[in-house]
Amino acid sequence: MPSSPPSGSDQERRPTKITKMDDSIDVTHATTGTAEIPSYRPDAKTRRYDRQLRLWASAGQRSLESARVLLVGCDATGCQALKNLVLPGISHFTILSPHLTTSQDVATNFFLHPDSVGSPIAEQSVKYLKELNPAVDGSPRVEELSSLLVSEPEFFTSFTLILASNIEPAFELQLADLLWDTSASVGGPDIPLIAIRNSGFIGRVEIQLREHSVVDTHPDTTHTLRLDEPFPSLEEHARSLDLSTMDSMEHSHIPWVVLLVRAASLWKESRGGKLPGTSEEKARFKKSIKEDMMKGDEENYEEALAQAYRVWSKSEVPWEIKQLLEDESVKNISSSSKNLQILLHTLSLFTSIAPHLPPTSPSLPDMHSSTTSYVHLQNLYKKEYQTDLARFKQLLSEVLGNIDLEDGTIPDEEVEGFVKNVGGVGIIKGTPLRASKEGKGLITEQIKEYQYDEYDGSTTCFAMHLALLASEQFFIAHKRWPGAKAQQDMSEDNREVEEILKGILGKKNLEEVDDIFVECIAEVTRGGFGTLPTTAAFLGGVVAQEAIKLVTNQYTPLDNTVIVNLVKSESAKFKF
Amino acid sequence: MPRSSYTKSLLGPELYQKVRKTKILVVGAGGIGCELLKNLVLVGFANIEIIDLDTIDLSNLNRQFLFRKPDISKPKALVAAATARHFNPTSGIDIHARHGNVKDSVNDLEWIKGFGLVMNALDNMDARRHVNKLCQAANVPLIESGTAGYLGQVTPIIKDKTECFDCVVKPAPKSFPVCTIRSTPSEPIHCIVWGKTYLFGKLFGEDDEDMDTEELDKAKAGGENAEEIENLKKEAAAFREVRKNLGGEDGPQRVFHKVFNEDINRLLAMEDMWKKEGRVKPVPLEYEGIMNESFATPPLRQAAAQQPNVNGQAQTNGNGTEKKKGLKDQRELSLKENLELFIDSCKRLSARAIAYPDIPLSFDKDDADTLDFVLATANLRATAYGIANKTRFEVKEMAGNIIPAIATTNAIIAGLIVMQSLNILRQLPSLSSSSSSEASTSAGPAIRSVFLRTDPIKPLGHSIPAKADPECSVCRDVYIPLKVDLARCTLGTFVNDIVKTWLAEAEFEGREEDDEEVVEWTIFEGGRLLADPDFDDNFERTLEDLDVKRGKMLTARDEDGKYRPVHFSICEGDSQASIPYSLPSTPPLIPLLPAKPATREPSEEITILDSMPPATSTSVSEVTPISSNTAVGTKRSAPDDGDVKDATAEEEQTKKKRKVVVVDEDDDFEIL
Repeated sequence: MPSSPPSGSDQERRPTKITKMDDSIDVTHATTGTAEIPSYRPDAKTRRYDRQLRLWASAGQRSLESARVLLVGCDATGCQALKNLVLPGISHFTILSPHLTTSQDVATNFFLHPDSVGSPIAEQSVKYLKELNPAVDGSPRVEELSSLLVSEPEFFTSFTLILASNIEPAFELQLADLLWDTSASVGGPDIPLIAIRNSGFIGRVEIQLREHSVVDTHPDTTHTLRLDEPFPSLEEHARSLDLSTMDSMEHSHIPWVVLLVRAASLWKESRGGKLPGTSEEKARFKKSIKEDMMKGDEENYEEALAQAYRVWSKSEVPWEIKQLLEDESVKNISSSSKNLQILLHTLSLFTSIAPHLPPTSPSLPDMHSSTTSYVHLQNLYKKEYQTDLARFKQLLSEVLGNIDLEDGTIPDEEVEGFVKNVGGVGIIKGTPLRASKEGKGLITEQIKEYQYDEYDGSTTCFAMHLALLASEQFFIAHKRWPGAKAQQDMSEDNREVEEILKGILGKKNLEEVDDIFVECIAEVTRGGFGTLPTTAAFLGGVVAQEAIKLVTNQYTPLDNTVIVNLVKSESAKFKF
Repeated sequence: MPRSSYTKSLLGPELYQKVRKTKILVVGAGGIGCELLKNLVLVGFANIEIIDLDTIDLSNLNRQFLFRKPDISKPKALVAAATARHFNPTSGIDIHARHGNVKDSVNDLEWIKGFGLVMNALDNMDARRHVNKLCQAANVPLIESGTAGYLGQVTPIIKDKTECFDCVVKPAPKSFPVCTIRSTPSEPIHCIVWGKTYLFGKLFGEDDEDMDTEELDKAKAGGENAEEIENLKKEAAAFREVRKNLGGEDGPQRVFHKVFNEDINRLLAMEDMWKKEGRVKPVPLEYEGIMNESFATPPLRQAAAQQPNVNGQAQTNGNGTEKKKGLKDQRELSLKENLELFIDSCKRLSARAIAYPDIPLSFDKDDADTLDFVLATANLRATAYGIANKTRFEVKEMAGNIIPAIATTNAIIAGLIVMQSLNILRQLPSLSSSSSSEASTSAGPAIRSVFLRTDPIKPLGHSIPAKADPECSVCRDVYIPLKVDLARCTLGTFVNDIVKTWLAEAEFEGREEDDEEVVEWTIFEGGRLLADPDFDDNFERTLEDLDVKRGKMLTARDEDGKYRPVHFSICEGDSQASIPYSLPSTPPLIPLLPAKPATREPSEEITILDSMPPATSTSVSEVTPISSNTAVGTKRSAPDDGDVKDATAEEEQTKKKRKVVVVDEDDDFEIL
C-alpha cells in the first residue's frame, strides 16, 4: 500500500502520493507486444531487489527509492547504517562532516581505505558507499554541523530522514529542535531524526518523530470474520445447511467459520439475541458444537472449538484505530490533510452508520474444508467487501467534496488497501528529543518508579541510558567524553558522571548512587565513546531497519528509545 | 594510532590475543558471510578461512555488499576475500578463500580440527547438519546462524555443553504423493513441483531410469493405483524418445504434444481414476488451437479457482492489488503467452544442453531459462487441469523456496555472531602456552542463543542454550579420527585390528571390572552394511576398493544396541608407514545408549519430490511466534542457569515447541 509522504514544496497544494520514478517499475504493459519472443522477465533492478520486494512489496520499494537520507557525523556506525540503506536502494544520501580521516577511523570504518587518511572523511565514505549500488546517488558536505544549522537550516529540511551518529550532544539537540519545529506547522514536512550513541559494547538509538503514519502495520490477522454479527448472506448460508442429511465427507469439511456462525445464530435465536456471556454459557455453547460432531476426529469441528472464543469477541473497530478516530487531525480535516487522515475520517463516518462495523475484509484464514465450500464462503466475504467498499467510496467522495478536493484525489489502490486492512493502519505521535534528554516528559515518571531487578535486563538498560545521559551532560560541560582522556583519570571522570547522574535522579544530596549505576557508568566510560566494529554492525542494522520502516510507512517503528547492551545480548525499548 | 588499539583495549590483552591467534572457519560467503567477514576483519581476527561453492548472482547484490555488478558469476568466497583484503591491505590479516563444497572429502575431521572456532553462514539444512556433525566429531565450537526476512537467530553449539543442531528435530520438508504430482494435481504447487522436479529432469537433467522405476515401484508398494503406476512407467519410457529429438526445429512442439496432449489422453483413458471424489478430469491442450486462439480454455475447477493464498510474503505483507498492478513479473500470462514461453525456453535450454552435453542442467530460480521453463510448464499443466495460474513472481518463490533476505537483518545477526564468538573465546583455554594457569576461568558474559524478532518492544531475545538431548544420535555418539591409507588397509584389518582389538580396550560405561562381556560389532558406511559377525565376505577387500573415501565415516554398532555407535572418521593416512593406519593413543569411553532406542536418527533418504517453499502459509505460521509478543526468547530453564526466575514449566514447553531454526534464503536441495 503506498504511503502518503510529506508534502515536499510549497507549490504543491497537498501531499502527493509518490514522486515519479526514472525507471518505472510499475509499468506493466511495456513489455507485451514489443518483443517477438515474449519474455516476462523482470528488469535488472527488480532482480537485484527480488529478495526484499517479498517483504515490503513494490509500494514499499517505491517509497524507499524516493527517500533522501542525511547522515550527520561520519563514523563506523553511521556508515554501516547507510550501507544497509544504499544496498536496498534509497534515492540519495548525503554525509555531513567537517573532519579529515584519521587512521583510527580507518580501523573501525569499513568504508574507508588506508589511503583515505588525511582526506575529508565525508568524501571518502561517500566514494566507497556509492560503490555498493550504482542506482543510488550520494554526495559529501564538508562543513560544521553547528554553523550549517545557523546558516542554512533549509538544507536539513530537504531530506526525508536524518541520521545523527554520535554527534556532539548540544548540536544533536539543536538539530532535533529544528526538525521538531519544522514539522509543527500544518502540512510541514515531518522529518524523523534517528540519533545514535554508542560506547564500546553499549548502544542507544533514539527516534524523534512528530507524527508518523503507518499504512500497513502488518498485523498478525486482518480478517474480519463477523462471527458475532454475521452479514445476512453469511448467516443465511450457515443456517441453510442441513447437517443431518450430509454424508460424513461433506460433514467433516464444513468450514469452522460456517459452523460457528451457525451455532451462534441458533444460540441467539433461542436466547433473545444474546451471545454466550458467562463462562458457563460459553462452555455450553462449545458443548452444543461438540454434540454436532459425527465422529470424534472431525478436524473442522476441532478447529471450530478452538476458535469458539471469537464468537464472543466483538466485531468492532480495533482499539488503536478508535483512538486515531478521536484525534483532532482526523476529526477536522482540510485539503492539506494527509490521505490517511482523510481515510480515517471517512471510516469514522462509515462506522457511524448501522451496523456500526468496520468494512469487511475479503480475506479468510486457512481452514480445514473442501475447496468448494471454502470458495463459496470466500465469495460471500468478497461480495460483502465489495459492498462495503462501494459504500466507503461513496462516503469518501462526499468527504472529499466537502473539503474541495476532487474525486480520485486518493488513488483507488490506496483506498482499497485501506478498506481491506483497516486494522493495519496507525498514526504515531512522538515526543521531542529534548524532553527526554533533559529529563522532562515521560522519563520523569520512569525515574521515580525505577527499581533495579537483576533478572530483568531492561532495568540494566535503563540504568545504561541514565549513564549515557549523564555522560552527555559531562560532554557539554567539558567538551570531551568521560574516560576519553588518559586512562588514569577514569575514576575521577566516573565520579563526576555519578554526581551528574544524582542530579538526573533528582537526588543531588544522595550519599552514593546504587551499585547498578556505578557499574553502568563504568561500562559506558570504559568504552570511551569509541566504536567497536561489532557494535557498529549491530546498530547499523537496527538503525537502517527503523529507517526503512519510517520511509516505507510499513510496520510500527520504534517510538522512541532502544538501549542495547551487547555484553549480555540484551535490549530494551522505552518511550520517554 | 595503531589500527586496532581501541578494540584491543576494550577487549583486554588476553582476549585480544585469542582474537589474533584463533583460526576461524567461515562456512558460506553469502548474506551473513559477507557481513561476518567484514566484522571479523575489523575486530582483528587475523587467521580466517572462508569456503563457499556458490557464484555471485544479481539478486545477491541487495545485501551481499562485498560484491559488485562486475563480479557476477565469480566465486563468492574468492571475491569476498579479495574485497575484504582490499580494504585492509596492511593489517597482517590472512584470509584463505576457497571455492568449494564443505562436504568435499578433503574437508575431513583433521581439517576441521585445525580451527579454533567455526561459524556457519549457510543457507541450507544439509550443509548445516554436515558441519554440525564435523564440529561434534572434532570437538570444535560452532556458531550456527540464520535469517529469514526480519527474523534471525544465533546459536552457539559446543560439544557436551549445549545441544547440537540435530538435537532439535527439524520440520520435515513437505512432500507430495507421486501420483498427485504425476497424474492428479489439484493445486498450483503440484504443477510447479511437476515442472521443476519431473519434467525438467526428464528433458534436461540426468536421465536416471533406475531411480525413476524404483520410485514408482515404491509408490506401488505403498498402495498407489497399480494401473496408474504402469502407465507412468510407459510415459517415462516415451520421454527418452522425445528427448532425443529435442534439438530439432519442431522438438519443443513435439514435447508439448506428448506432455500436454498424449499423456493427458492416456490418463483420461483410465476411467476409474476419475471416479474418485474431488477429481477433475483434465483437458488435453492443442498446439494449433492455442496458437490461433481458437482453443477454449478449460474452465477453472471451482476447487482451485481461489485457493487460499499460498504465496506468503508480498501478498500478505504488501497488499492484494499487487497482482494486478505490480511489477511486470507479477502479471498473469495468457495461455498463448505461456505456450510461446514454453517453446522458447525449451529451445534455449536444449541449445545449452547441446552445447554442453556433459553438464546436466538443473533448476535454479535465478537462472532465467530454467525459471521460464518451469513457469510455462506449470501454468500449461494448471490450465489443462483447471487450476489457477501463477505469476512469474509467485512461481519463482514457490519453486525456488525463496526466503526474503535483507541487508539489515544480516548485519544485525553478523554483529551478534561475533559478539558470541568473543564470549566463547573468552571461555576457551588460553592459547599461549606460557600462561597455562587457565586464566580463562575469569567469568565473562554467558554464551547465549540470541533471537532477533520483529517485535518492536523487545527486538532481541536470548536463551541459555539447552543441554544436549541424551538421545541425539549426532552429538552423543563417539567419534574417532582414523588416519588410514585406504589403498592398503583391508576391511578385515579394520575389523580385526581396530574394532575387535583396539576398540575392545575402550572403557564401556556401566561395565564392571571383571565383566567378560564381548561386544559384537556391525560395520556400516553411511547406509551400507560392510560387515557383521556373520558376514565377512568383504574382509579381503581394501577400503578403497569398497569405496570408502576420505571424509566418510565407518560406523561400528554393537549387535545388542546397548552402546553408542562409534564412528571412525576417515582422514588422510601415511602411505609410507608400515602400519596402514593410525589411531589416537587411548581408546575412548563408550557410553550406554539410553534405554529407549533412539528414533531420531536423521534419515539419509532423499525425499521423493520436493520441499514446500518456506514462505507459504503453513510455514509462516510456524515462524510467526518468534515475532509475536510471547515468551519466546526469554530465559529458558536450564539447571545451571542462575536466572531462571520466570521460566515456568509451561513456558519451557512452548519454548521447545516454538524453537524455530531460521534458515537463510535458498534452502532447497542445493548442497553447499
